[in-house]
Amino acid sequence: MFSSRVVLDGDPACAHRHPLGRDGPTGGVTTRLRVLDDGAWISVDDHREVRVSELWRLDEPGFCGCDLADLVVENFQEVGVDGSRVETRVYGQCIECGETGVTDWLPVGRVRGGEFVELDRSCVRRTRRE
Amino acid sequence: MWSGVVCRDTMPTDVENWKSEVYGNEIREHLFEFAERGFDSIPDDERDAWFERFKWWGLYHQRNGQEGYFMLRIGTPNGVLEPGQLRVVGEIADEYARGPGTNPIFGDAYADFTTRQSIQLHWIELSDVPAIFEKLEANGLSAQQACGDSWRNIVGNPVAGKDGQEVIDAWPVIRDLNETFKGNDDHSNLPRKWKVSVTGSADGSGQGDINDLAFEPAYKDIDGEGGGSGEGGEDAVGFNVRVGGGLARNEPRFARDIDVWVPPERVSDVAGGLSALFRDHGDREDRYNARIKFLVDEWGPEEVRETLQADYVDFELETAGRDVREEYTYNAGEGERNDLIGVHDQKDGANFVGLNVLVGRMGAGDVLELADLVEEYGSGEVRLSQRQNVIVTDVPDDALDDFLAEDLLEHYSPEPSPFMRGSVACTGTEFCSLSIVETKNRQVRFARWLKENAELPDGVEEFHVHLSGCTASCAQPQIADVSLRGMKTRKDGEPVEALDVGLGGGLGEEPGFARWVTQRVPVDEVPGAIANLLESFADQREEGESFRAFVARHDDEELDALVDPEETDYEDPMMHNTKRTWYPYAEEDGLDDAPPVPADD
Repeated sequence: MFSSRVVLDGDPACAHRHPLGRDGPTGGVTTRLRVLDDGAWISVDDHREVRVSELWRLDEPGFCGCDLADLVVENFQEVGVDGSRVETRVYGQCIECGETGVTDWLPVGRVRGGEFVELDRSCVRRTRRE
Repeated sequence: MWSGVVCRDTMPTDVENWKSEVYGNEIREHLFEFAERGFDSIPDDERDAWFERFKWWGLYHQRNGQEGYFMLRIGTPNGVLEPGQLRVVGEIADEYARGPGTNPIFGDAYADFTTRQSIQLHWIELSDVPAIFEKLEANGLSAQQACGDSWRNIVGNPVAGKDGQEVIDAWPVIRDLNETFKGNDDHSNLPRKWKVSVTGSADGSGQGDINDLAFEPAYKDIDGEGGGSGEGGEDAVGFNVRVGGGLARNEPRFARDIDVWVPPERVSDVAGGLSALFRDHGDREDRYNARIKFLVDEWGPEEVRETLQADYVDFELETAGRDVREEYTYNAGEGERNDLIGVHDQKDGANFVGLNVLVGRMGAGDVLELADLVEEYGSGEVRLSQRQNVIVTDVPDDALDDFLAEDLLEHYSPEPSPFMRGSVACTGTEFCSLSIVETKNRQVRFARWLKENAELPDGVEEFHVHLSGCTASCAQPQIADVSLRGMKTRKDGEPVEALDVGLGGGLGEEPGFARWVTQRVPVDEVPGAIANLLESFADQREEGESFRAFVARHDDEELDALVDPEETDYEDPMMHNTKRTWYPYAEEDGLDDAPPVPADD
């Protein structure tokens, strides 16, 4: 999936609506999440917030054999949300072992009080375990 | 508080939704309204939709930190710039392609000649677009469909109609296709870009293998009337058809033979049929899977042919004719005429002169000076090649020496160093969102260092190094002797720009993609790696062996050992994350220092 979005309120294209708890212009809150520029950016509310070509530390044993993958983020595949946590699946490569592929859902930031806050780029990212 | 995972799948994609609302020719009216009312008149929540649509008219919004500035791509079919048009490009670059960032090598106004025989200008302001379009169109130029999901600029042998080696003149065919499918509402909204190559020469310089749709010269014995062998007979000359080539996204494909030969007068019918087939059957739900190469993967070439025949043309398709692929040399890694640099015979007795434009970038002043020279020594026409170079046509024998003695040709040489001649680079992080690394200036630095510090073995005249900032592969890295692709690594614990190194790619009769043998070489160690590789090549090659053949007889592990990255006296000033700047070469380069949106004046 190239481009997904989460619409928390007000978009007929989305079947699920999850108010954030802040009043917007239409009485609810709409947070638009998109993958833009051929997978180069995650846009939150029409602002490019998260870019490719960063190095992310991953604790995701399913991606490669490294204890801690050091992933070059090459392309965002899709973006979504779990609770207040904005997540993405990315295509990339572990620079420790060379493994390439698409990750599971990884956090990129949170929406707090209607504002997006990106995760510290040096943090270790983990897939949410059920 | 949100709960649950919300709406991760959206069908169709955002882009398809935006396209379904407004797309194609009608975008122009909106574009001009926004230009009149100013950049800020585009509502914040509609900007991404409009930026996507503006691409159809050749405008890409530049990357973060360069808000309000656009790249403008001018599509020049087959790379042909008719007399006077080069001057127009130079004047537009000089007047409008200036922004707040100055490039330390190329200055502050320049034109980029691309690997698809187009022209790109940067720092274009929205308010200037109507005036630029008026000037382009008054001079027979256009940015229509230069980008976006439609017929892109049609490529081919740039010296079509003049080339002494050509089998058939493809230029009238390309002109016809351009007139038929530019602005054609039936073909204006395709699932993804649609890249077409039409080649009439026997050198393979149209690079059809890496296009969505390729027409390549071929002979056909129609109704048994021809000579069969083509030697002394009267076989008809036309084109074989291939479909589904492309290099992007770590999914490179060569176009597949669909066993169709078409005479020149029916190219438009077959091309339109295949474009319509792609329009109707391409994947609009997943842009990563949208290019026709994936449909050909899924269906196979036989089903593409059967569907074309059954649903999209109203005449019986001929089976493929006898091609001339065994004569292909362009970008082939060996043989004569790997590019079109230098002085070559035209079939009318005049000459065309291929000039090397290092990484395809030429200052606006030089563009205008070249425009003067081509009017003085040639017909005023120039053509652009897929190796980012300029070809001056129609230079008569008696003017040749004086032309070659012009000062400008010291910089844009018809006899350059192999390292200058072989350099191709994409736009990179200077302007592009997708690129991982700085590219054009880096490739210039690489070429200059290699020229001073590396040697090719005797008899090896050409050596192609293509640097692409990411897997989109705009510099066509997979078809070079040395392929470089943007990456990141850590050096001394710190993230630095790096390059993957691939070897031995090329086109020709049997095209092959480069093999990625060495990963993530820090950029400052790449020139040393190439020099070491060349030293090993010189020591170990068999007599007369080309670099491509040398690579072919080694396995990946052996080649990885030969690459041998090494720090040298080469210094790279752009090791840091150039993506985190608003402009990599600015003195104050942080995103917080980004200039404001340009004022509407």
